[in-house]
Amino acid sequence: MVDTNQKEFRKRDLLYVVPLWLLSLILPDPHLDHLRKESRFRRRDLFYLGGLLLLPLMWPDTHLHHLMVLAGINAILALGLSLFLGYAGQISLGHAAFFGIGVYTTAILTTRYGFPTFVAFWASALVSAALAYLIGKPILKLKGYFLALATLGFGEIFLVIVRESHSLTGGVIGIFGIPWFSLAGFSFDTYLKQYYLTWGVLIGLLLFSKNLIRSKIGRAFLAVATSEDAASTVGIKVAQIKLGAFVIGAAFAGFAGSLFACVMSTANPETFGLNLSVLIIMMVILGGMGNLYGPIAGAIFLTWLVDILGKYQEYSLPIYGLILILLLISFPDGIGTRLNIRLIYLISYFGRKKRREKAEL
Amino acid sequence: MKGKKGMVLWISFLILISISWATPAYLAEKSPYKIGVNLELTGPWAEVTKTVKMAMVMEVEKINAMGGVDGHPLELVIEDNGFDLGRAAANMTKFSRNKEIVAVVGPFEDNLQATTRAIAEREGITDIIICPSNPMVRSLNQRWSFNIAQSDIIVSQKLVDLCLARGYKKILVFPGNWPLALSLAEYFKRFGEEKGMKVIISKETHKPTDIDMTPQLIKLKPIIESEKVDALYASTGGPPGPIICKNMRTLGIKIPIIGTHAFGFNFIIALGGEAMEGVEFAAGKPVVPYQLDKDDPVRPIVIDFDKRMRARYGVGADQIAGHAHDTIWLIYDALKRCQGKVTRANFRDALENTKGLKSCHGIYNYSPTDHDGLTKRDLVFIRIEGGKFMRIKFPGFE
Repeated sequence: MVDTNQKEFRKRDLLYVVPLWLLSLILPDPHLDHLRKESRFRRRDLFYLGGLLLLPLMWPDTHLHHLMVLAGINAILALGLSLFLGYAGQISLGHAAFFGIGVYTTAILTTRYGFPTFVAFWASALVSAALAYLIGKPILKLKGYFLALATLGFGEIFLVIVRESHSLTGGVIGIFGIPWFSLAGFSFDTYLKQYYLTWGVLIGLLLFSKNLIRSKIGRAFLAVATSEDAASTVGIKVAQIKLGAFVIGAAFAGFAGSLFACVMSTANPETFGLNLSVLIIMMVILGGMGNLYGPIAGAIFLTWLVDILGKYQEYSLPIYGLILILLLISFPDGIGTRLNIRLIYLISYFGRKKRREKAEL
Repeated sequence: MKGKKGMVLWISFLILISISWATPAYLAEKSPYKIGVNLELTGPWAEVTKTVKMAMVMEVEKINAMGGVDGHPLELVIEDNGFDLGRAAANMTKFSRNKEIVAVVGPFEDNLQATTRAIAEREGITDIIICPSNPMVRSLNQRWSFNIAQSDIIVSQKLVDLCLARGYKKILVFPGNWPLALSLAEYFKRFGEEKGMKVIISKETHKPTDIDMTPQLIKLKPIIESEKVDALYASTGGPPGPIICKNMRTLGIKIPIIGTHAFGFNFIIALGGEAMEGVEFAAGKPVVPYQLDKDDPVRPIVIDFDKRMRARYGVGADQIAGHAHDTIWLIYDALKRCQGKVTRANFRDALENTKGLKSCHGIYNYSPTDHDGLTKRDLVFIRIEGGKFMRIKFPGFE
């Protein structure tokens, strides 16, 4: 019971800052923007990617890995919703239901029918997307508050169905013993492996979203968000575009749900209530709408915040609320858009100071 | 002048001694045994877990005042999980990562337990569960998990005894829609029908967060009248219990009400008021400390605990405070019996070998096949009369 390794741990921490610092040197310098504008985006992405890959190796701590797995799952959810909420400008208060559909699809397919998790993973996204299509077709004709209420109602109806259909979902008791995610005999049985799995999926979906928003459909999202009437006058099929965003968001939630089921090994209706829907919206708003990195930053931030606040016991909820209010007041556009590159830039301040002086001479 | 200087010297000398010698010697000699506590301190179960926390803090302070476990003080590391699966699981890994933490207590609700039990198995850390969990969860491999509370099986058996003693033949069950409440209802039906009673489980259920049950009860009223039901069994826990009683009396349903052991909380009477009169249930001994038999082995423990609770917090011992008390003393007992250096594995083995430990709720016996501890004998019948818990006895059923 002596904490010898805890002291060692602290020393090691300092060493690990060095690669992070070196990594930050490849970041573009905002002061030198006018010199090389072309490579700006690619370098920033490379920094994030390197940081993500190195992070769990730098801090070999199961709790950190576990939290980052949860943060990654939340980030997938937030990314999906940001396409619908941030880009297409529609509100959904029932996003947790698609997450739930993903969880239950994986749970039922793997425990009842013995499907491999990889098949269940894709099936979850497909089932979520199919249901989103069926539900979205009628309710996406609504706008504003009415759409919010309709999606809220959908979330509640989903919960009631899950609780009451005992034979399929196990009712309130839920389903236990969902196997680890495995692929071709390789089982993701530690949090470290799950970290790479979750963030790998997230990076894949991020690349997909990045390409999507630069495509014709992505531009149409933005047009619909600004004005549906104006968008329809230039020949955009508003209903189809909204439905597309909804279905893609639901498919992302299905992926997230499948990963969640494999990580937690249980499926339980209490997990997909209104709380989760609001939490995802909070991640998107806090991270920054109309920005793909924002929701991910918001998801990581909120997951960590909630975990750290745990030690304040009964006061955790009021403190949480206070922090959210203060953040929304001081960062109305979201932490992702305002801080953006600044924080990481600060780490490498002295390293690039010389470079900048050289460039300016 | 000289005297003053001398005094300064003396004082600094004394301070030096007290700093460099006495305090560190006392602090550094024995490192504390830490216990992680993973509770729903916010959310629908906040009122219940508050009592758990109060009682645990009080008992740990008592043990430390007694000199701790062979000189090692106990220390609680309390974390809130906000009734959220992800947070409860993350807390569990947080505790398992901290090498100083010997065991984890909680979480409270069933929905969170399956995952934390699985993590406990994987990481090799003892997980002590305060609330009884449903049979599905208990049937999982549970080498590292221990239950403190009376299981749903023995509570249901005891309630069937209560119905037999009262001569009830037809019972309507109004269950909550969470796993424990439903499994209590199902076990009650199974055991009741074995004894020749008719048990109807209502299709109407309620949530722990419901603040009005009138809609459900209006639907149940015709069933109660047409079937001539003898009593209504509110298979629930926490705040819904008194709400059901209140709404029933407002609707003019006069049949007796039977409750679960989760009616043995102090706040139940405060919430329900007069509507709680005549409610009968089976609960643990801490609910009625002064009405236990004179020769009951746990009577002095319960009375002492109740007195300390009243002196410190102004509320007496109750069902859940008793569980918290027992958790701490079980841990204390197991730590004392640990052979050599205390490790997680040693602690688990010691806890599994607990035999005949007398604590608030009764006598605890664990074995490799039984991680439940208590038996039917550790429950008593209770009736609410005049705003107080009164013990009732039935010849032949005690």
